[in-house]
Amino acid sequence: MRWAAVRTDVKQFLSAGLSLLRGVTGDDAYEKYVAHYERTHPPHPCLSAEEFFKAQLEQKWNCVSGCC
Amino acid sequence: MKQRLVAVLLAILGGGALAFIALSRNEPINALWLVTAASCAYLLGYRFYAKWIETTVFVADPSRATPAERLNNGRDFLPTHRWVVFGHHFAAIAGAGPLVGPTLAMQFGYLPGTLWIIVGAVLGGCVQDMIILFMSTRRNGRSLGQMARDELGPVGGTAAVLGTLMIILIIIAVLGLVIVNAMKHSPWASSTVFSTIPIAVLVGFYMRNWRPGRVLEGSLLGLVLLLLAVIAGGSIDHNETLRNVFNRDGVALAGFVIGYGWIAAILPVWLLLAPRDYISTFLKIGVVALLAAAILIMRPEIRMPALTQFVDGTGPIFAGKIFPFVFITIACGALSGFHALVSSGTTPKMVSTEGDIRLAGYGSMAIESFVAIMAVIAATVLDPGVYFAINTGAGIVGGTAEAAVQTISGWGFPVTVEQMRDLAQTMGESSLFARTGGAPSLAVGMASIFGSAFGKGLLALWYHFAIMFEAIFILTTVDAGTRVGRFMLQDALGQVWEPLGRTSWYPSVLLSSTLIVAGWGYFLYVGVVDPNGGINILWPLFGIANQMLAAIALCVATGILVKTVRLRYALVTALPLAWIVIVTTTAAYQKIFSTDVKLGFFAAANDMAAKLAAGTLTPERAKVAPTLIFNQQLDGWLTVLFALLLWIVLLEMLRMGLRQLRGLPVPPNSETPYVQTQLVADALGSRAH
Repeated sequence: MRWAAVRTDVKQFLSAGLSLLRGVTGDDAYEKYVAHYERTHPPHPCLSAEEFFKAQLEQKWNCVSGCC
Repeated sequence: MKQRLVAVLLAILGGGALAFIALSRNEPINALWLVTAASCAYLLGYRFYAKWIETTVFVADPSRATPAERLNNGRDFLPTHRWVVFGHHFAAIAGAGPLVGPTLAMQFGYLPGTLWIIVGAVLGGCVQDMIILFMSTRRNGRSLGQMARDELGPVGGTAAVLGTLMIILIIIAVLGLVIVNAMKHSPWASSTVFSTIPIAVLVGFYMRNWRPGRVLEGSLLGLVLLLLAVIAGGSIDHNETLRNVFNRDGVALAGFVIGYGWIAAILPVWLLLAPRDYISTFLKIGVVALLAAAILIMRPEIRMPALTQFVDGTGPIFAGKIFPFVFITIACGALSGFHALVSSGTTPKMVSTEGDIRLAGYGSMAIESFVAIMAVIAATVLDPGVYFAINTGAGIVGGTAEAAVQTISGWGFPVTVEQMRDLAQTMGESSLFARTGGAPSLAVGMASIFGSAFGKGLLALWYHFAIMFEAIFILTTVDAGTRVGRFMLQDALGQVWEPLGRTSWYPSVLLSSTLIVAGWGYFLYVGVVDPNGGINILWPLFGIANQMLAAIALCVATGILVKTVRLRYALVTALPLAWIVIVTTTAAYQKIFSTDVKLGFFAAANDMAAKLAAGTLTPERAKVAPTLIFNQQLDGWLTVLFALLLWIVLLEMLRMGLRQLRGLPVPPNSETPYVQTQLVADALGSRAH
């Protein structure tokens, strides 16, 4: 009983860690984009994963995004 | 109550550690004291000073919708979890700067640099980053240059943009020089650094074609391949033929970095730039955590004295007295103007509530400052004699090993030829004398900390791992910086002739990339041929440029505060601004007007011209003398330009502030109007749909 609780805690901790890591690296960016698209239904078609990734990179590197 | 108790304990612990560090003389202290003092200062600063700024100066309003919510497009404007914003912001501001500057500044002893890193960050750097982030968030994520134009007027705006462009050129050149000096005649380091290019390309294909957008998988793949490349470098070092392929001198390696920067600037970003940046984010977070763990396990003793005789300005690594040059040399890690560009770039578009700004702005900079403290530790756990032998140029201590050890031992820092030879052998290098730039000495320090914490047998591997770690940031700065410079130049050229401003018109891309690469490539080349190592000239120039940008950012911030809050609250940015203006102006004045040939740019140029005319230079030196003379004069004029830009923006800000106080019309506050948030807070206090 106790072990089950500990296991759930550890699982929750690890999945929270993974979702932070995915957020920081931008691994989940496409999922977020699709979720946003489905919520708002903008007039233009939804980008594919590859198109989205390319557009994302172009945007990120067209401004100051790094430092010394 | 409990919180107060913790705060009091932190204050006692931190204050005690700081007092212990400051009062310890002539006996070695443990590195843990530095870690303790720094951590307590950051925690207290975050908990009280930053909190006070957040609630009293800005009156941050959690009910106010941020641009991420109002302009949410599912892409760059996107409400993001506060810890993700923090991680993202830290990864964007941290680079090689906080590793190199503190290493060089240790010529004064560990005390001045450490105090400046801690105090500068808590009262200056963290505050600047947080405030600019806050102001940009309230202005739809506008950039520093745009805010300067909106709030101070067109003169301030133009000066900010010009200053940014100049600092980009200088930082690429100086970091390029750091990495060239680390690769010079080191087949192992060179082959590892070269291998990052095909690895990045492979990861680029992985993320774009094979598994689109799978950033995490791709980065892990790249990381494993990089570690294999470090190990393979050892075998290359032992193979006679391959050794000769990668054993290159400074000029050839500088040519490689310049050619690389040009190609990377015109290639699509997914191919080379972006994948390497993803890998470097991982490496950055991993190595910082690993180094912190190693220091805690190892608890190394600091061997460098608290203060050395070089506080009087006779230092061999760079010229100039402790004031103002310790504050110029350590920019990133204490107060860095460059961060203001990041704080007004991508981060403000991700913040989901104003309550998260303190963590991203103040917190990230505190961690960066902690990285600088670790660089201090890595440099000062070395024998001081070894530290000076690695970091002093051959032009100062003499070209042979015997001459160098004699000079350095003569300063009171004993070191022997055998000691240096053994050390070089353990690290898998042919020689460690005069490897200026800070990267090799940091790598030796990191290798000895890692080695004693996780096994001594792998010192050479740790050394080259550390070099690769620095190289990967630096190459990212080289190509990302060149790209940014290219866009800024195209923007400016577009005002002269419209087609030049089109960012996808190839002739314009080629022209502007070539101009930018030529700009920093020139400084890099001169640094490489300079017998004194070049770092002694370029790093102070970079420091002055970076602090000038910090002053511009603080001017913008002070200008906005004067308009929007009570006058005395403007002191939060006005005091660091006053300090950095005094420091930067003094340094610029000395660099321009000093008659000391080691310190003054024009004095050095005149001295060398006189020697060249009198024929007293060796043939080797006479050959490069005309280049060096021109370069010193150019650096002198650049310093004049930086000082002018700083004072123009400062006077603009003061003029605007005085008009405001006298009730005369000023550019209006460009803050966006209040909109009620629709987001709901989750259990962690973060907001999402």
